[in-house]
Amino acid sequence: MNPKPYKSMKKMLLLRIPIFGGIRKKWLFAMKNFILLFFVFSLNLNANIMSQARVSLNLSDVSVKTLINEIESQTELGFLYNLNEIKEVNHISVEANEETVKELLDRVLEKTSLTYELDRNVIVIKPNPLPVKSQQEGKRKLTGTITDDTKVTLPGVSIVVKGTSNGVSTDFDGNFTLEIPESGSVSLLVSFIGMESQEIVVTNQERLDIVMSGSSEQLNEVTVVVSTGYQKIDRKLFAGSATKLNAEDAKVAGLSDVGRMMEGKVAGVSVQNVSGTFGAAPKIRVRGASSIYGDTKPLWVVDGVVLEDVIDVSPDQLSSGDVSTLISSSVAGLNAEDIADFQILKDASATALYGARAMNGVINITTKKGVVGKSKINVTSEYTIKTKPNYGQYDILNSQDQMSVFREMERKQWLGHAEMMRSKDGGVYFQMYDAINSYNNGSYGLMNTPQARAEYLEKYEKANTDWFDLLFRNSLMQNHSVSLSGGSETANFYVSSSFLHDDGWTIADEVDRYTINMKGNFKLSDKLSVGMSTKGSFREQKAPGTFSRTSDAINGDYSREFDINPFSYALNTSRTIVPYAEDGSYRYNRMNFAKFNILDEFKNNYIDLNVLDLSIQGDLDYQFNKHLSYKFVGNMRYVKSTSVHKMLENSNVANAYRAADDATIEDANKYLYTDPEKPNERPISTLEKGGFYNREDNMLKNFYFRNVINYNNTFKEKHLVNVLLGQEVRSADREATGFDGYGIQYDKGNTVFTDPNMIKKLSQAGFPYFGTSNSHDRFVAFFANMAYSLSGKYTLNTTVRVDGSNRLGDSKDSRWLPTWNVSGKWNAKEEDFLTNVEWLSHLSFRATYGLTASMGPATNSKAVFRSGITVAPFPNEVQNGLRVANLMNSELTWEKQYETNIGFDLGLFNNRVSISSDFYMRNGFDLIAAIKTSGIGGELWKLANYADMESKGFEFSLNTKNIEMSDFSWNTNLTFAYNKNEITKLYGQPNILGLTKAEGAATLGGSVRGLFSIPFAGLDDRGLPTFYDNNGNVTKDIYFQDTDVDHLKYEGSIDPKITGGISNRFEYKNLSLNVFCTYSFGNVIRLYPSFHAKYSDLDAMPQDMKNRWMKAGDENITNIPTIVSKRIYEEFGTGLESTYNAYNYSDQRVAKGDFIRLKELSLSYNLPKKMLNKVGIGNASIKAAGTNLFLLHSDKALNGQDPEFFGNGGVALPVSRQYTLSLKLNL
Amino acid sequence: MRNYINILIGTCLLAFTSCNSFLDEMPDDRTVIDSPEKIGELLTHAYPNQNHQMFCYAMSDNATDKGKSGRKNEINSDAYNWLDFRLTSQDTPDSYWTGCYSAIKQANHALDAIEKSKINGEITEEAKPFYGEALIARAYCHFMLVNLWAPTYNPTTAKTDLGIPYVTQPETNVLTTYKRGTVAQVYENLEKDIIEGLKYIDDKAYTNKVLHWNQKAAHTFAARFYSLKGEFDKVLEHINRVLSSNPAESLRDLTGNYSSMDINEAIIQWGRTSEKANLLVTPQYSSWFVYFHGSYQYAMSIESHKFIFRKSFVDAEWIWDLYGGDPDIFFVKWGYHTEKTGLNSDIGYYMIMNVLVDMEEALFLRMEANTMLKNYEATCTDMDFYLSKRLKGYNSVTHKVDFTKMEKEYKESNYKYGLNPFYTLDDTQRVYMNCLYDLRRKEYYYTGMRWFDHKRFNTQVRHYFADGSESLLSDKDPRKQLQIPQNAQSQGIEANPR
Repeated sequence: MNPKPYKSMKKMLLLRIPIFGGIRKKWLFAMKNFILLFFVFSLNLNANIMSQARVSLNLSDVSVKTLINEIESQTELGFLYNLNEIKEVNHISVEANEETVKELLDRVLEKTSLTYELDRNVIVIKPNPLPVKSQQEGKRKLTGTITDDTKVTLPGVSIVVKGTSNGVSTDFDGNFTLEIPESGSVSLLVSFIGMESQEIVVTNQERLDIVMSGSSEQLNEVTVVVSTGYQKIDRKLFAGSATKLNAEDAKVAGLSDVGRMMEGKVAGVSVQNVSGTFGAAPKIRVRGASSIYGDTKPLWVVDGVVLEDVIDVSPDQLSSGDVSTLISSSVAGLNAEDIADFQILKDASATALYGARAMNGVINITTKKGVVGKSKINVTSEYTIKTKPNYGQYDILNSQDQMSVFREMERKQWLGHAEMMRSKDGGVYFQMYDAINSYNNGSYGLMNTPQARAEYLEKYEKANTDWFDLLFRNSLMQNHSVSLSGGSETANFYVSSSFLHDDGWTIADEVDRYTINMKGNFKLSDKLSVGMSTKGSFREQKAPGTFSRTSDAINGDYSREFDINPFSYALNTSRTIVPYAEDGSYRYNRMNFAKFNILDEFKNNYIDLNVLDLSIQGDLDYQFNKHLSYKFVGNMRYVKSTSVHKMLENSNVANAYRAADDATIEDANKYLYTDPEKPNERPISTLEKGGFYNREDNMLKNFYFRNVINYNNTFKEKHLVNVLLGQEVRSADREATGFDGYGIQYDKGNTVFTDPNMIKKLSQAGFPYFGTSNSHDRFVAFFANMAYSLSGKYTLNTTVRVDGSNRLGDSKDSRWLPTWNVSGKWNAKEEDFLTNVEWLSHLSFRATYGLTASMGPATNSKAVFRSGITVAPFPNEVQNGLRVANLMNSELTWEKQYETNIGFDLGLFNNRVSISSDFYMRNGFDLIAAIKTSGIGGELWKLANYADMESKGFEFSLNTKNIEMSDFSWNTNLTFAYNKNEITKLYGQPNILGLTKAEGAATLGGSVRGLFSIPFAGLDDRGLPTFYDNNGNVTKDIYFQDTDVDHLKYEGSIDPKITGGISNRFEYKNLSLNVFCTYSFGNVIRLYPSFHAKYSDLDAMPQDMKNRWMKAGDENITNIPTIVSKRIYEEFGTGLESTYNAYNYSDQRVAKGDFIRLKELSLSYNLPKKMLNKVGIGNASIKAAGTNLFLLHSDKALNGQDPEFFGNGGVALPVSRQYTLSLKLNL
Repeated sequence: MRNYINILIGTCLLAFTSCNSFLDEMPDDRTVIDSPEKIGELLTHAYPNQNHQMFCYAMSDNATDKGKSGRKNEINSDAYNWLDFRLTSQDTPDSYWTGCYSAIKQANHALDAIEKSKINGEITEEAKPFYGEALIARAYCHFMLVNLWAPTYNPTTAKTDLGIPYVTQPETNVLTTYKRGTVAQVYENLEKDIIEGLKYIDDKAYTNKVLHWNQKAAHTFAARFYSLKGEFDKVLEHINRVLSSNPAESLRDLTGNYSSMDINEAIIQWGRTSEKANLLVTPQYSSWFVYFHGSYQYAMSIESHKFIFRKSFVDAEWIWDLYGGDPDIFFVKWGYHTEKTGLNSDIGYYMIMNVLVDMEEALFLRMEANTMLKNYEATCTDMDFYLSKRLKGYNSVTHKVDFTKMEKEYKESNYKYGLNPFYTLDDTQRVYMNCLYDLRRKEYYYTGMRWFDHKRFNTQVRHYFADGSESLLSDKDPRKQLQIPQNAQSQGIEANPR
């Protein structure tokens, strides 16, 4: 029975609207009118009368009430009935000719949900009673309240016991009382127009509070259904580990990237904000890393379709600060307001349907849909102010201290006049000598006397330039979003658009993002429904010009040419430099032999990035019958990103290519060109005119199709069965194109004036000035899932999937991989011995065992050949070559892992305390790692499935309703996750550089990325750092490529072992306060490499420098190495460069990564509805929030360095402290 | 219901059959070898890209201890002390081992592709030159390996002496087990490859033939191979296809055009493919070039230069003048270029254009063969050609070679050269051979060729130290065989005795 009394419901709606207004009490008087019993008495009635009374009638499509009225008018019989119970029985057509009332009623009511009985003298019409069995067992009362998801109670909701006519409607306050069988479970069908119908299994509860959400689709309720993206499966049939997070709970004010919202919200999901720049992905891991060299990112799924990455950025590259990181976040184009919820699938059972891509977990996003009913408009505006960093947060020397260091450098024969005039970089000393050299209007810029020089320097000693103030701004970021939704029984729609504008936290960046989302669902018939949606986003972003960083394998550091990252610049540039001259013009220092002013450079050297992301999706559902359905999903996505790095004619980069002031500079300037064919000629510039235009285009074209057949049925009321069969096909084509343009004259109509020597230089060095690379992913899978549950008490769920991919190359042997898993659940609360335990509201246990997999980084199931050109000094010696890049690996297979998960869910005291906990063990095997061969096959190091890894973890989330009063509530939500991994099989050892760099390296017995340190052996008697070598000897000579690494000190994993968050939400009337902290423990961090064998007068130094070695004997009291004198520096050749880098990579320069961060503090206020009603607004709220406010705890050794941020320059910026004001309106 | 299942099964079957071809799409820009041209491009890398000269030089008696002032280098010092090398980086035996086998891998893949491209069991015309090149390339690398890691060929012991794995197939498993075999087996394989390969070498197949095994280079290599086997008539047979009637014309003109070049020009000219003396040149990763020649601790000292380049037996000064200042002295050989990690990067790899085969070698092999075949007159004529390009102020009359002058300088009683090949030398031959042994020492000074001469003639090597001590590597010292790389040993390759 599924009555849909349109008329009466319309009445409900009318009643409901004022309730939304929040003036509920006024309506209490109406309650007694709502459910009225009508009694009609006739005292002389008996059974005989009834059997004798005859009626004649001819009714067509009438209600029971009409029938009763007709009988009453023809007889003297009286009826007793509950108006509410009979009101839904309509469409009665009956023809009778002098028929007894008994016969008539028997005949008519047989087809309805009603029955009758003769009670004393009255015919009582009532709902058909429950099946005999339950009648025998007796009944009990189930009470509860039904609300919508904004916590407004819903009157008139129909609650019917499935398979019976036993049902009630809620009263004005949304309360209901229903009689149900005392034992055994029953399913309740809860329906209300405009709300999503629900089926809820009731076992032993006495109270059932139901939240209905506005949607037209069936079975999409938080407490009932798990949405894996492939299926929406009844919780009862689901036994995996999955966490659902509502968008509202996930939202962190002022965070525009949904990827960052997971931080601390879900146990087992760790988010590390290695860069806070818009578009840069945080390092997200679900249950830690599952691969050593392969992908460790979770799979993002939006509305059932995997969101492919535009470019593949490895976890280590995420922190590089390269431009590619700006398009590393695949979810950067999503408007957070469009998201309804996240479902984080963690264990093998939950992710099983993703088969061989699911090893790293899945984050499934469901976007909002249209709701049947009146059209709604939602407007959200968010204003975020990011505050400038300041020197108080970092330990940088002020200009006075810095100048005293420079003076010491001067005493140590650095910063001399002749040397500075010819040095690559120069700051205040360079400017001083430059002034001495300049002769204008009959006088020198500065007299070359000790006194004049001292006065000059003294002036800059007091400069104390605040780079943070100059390069950063308290910028405003605005995010406005409008959505319209609505619909009828047959069609609904959701349309939204948003606009984000970020002025830029620094003066060099800026972001605009526009999104659109259109979604319509159409019910073409009872069986067929079709959905279409389009999501699009367009982003325009400006970033400081940057090149990719390169690694210096010899001295062990990274370098980036022409790095002008504002954050790095502020941290690393001496505060004695002044950006403006006294007359207000730019003051230039020297970089790369050319004039440089950071403020000017930002105008002349920048990156324009555009990203267009368009996705079109079609869904089709066909319901063959009640049990069997077919679903098709088709999606096409196209992403195009273009980054153009413009270096104008006056940029430092362009000027560096021209800097040839004198012969010394000519020889030293590496940007000049010497033709190898003419070895005796002077170096010349290859950029006579103009600047550079470096462009990079990335394209992704993705197609996805899925066919699924689902069968679900319940046998004998207790055997719940769901079977799913499906197939999917995916193709993704990626194209990356790079082009470097030389000699473009931006100020002359972009005329290109290329020096032929530039092309000659490029081809001689073996570098192309343009290029393209393509990749093609092809993917096919077949899958089957079967779930069975006995009365929701015992559940078994199993999935088998076969994946096929072209990634491993064109060998047919290894391309297919089957994965499987089995999971089970025991709902203990339903056992007899627990049903009566009052305080226990819920208890169930889950267990999963299964195989998941992932594609490793190797693709050589057949030999891989790569073309390239050889490097030779003369053009006629350069050849095309074809390298066997990888030998065939006939044993190549997917990376795999067996996962065991055991978990329980516990609810106490009417679910005021709910706990969910999981323990897991993962045995990763066939992981791809490098293995050292004999070399006889011709490939010394091979990537092969020769590594194993074990990881263990524990996850815990606790939700408590500490105080629940009518006006005040306090909820606490705590998540905790522990993850530890250990590599149990690995061949080959990385070298010293690999092990000691900030990104860490994989080692046997260590974690996936472990950090090692060079053991520091103290300073020597000249203040130079020394270290222990492999034999325990003290040395200054560190060879970073050395593979003898046993003496290195293991510091720990760079990935935190413990992550989580805690939020406390206080609600008082319309006010709500949320305090949210995230924490992370158990990792180590390599400190900024701030020590160098020689410095320039541009460098800023850390406060540590004050404690540096100054005189003999200091080595006993300090570990901060000395500033090397020129004489000592030259004594070692350039050898001290690597010695000082070794100090940066020593155990002296490591800190703990532990932190507790006050992530968000927010106060929101819902405006009184009474007031809003008058102006026609449904809901309005205002929220003020502070995000990333401060660290409650972090290692002091960090000295202000953000424990999450790597600080590698380029486009990377740390997450900023920000304050957000957001306004929400529902019309 | 049954209908639905049938439809489902039907769809699945259809899907399975069609998706294998769907999955045949190449995942990235990898190249498919589908033309003879691409087979040829595989052979671009069939030449060792690592260098053996630096360690061979320091192991030979060309190097001496300059004292503490020289640049410290572990490879240089391990080589000089005949220790097992600690490093495995560029310029070490381990890297050369890998470099050779990597080149062999390229050759084997080319041969595999040729095999697959056969039409009616015949190699196509276009592929023939590459077939020849691949075989010679494979032979050359194995030849170098067997000479460095196995005892010198000696017909009486070759059947028991451990060789090196001779690889003829592309590797398909992650870890493949290889056997060293015997020196005799290696030489059989070498001869087979050389004979077969020479049939197909065709200079017309290349735009720049000096970068590939061309006719002259291949025949010179064949001659080198037969000189080790002591088959001198075959040496002559091959060499006569290389040298013209006036071989001086094709030698490196140190007394001519080089003398007018400054050092920067000369070092570039040295490794150029357009240099007429260069028969085969290949780019290699190495820090062994002119600026480093002089700087290492175990290299050339003023004294050793004085001794090695003392006035020639025909009473004229050698052309090789010293550059640099004590202790960093050197003379002109080859220069370098770089493979950069970025266009303007300061970081990159030093590369050299290494001359693997040159005209001088052909000439020396002919002199050696003629000596062994007792055509002494021919030997002297060739030596005149040679000296005309190596002596300052050469005068074809006063500086003419004759046995008397030679014997005066090179008789065994003057200085114990101790040449001890498996074939016998009579007294006359010994004088000639001692002379050639010495001339080759000068000609190939930094190239490491001296070490191969120590090996094939079973001579002892004496090293002197700055503190006055000295050490001796006896003629049959097991350390004359490099130690098998650790990683190969751990994959079951038998180590050399120590």
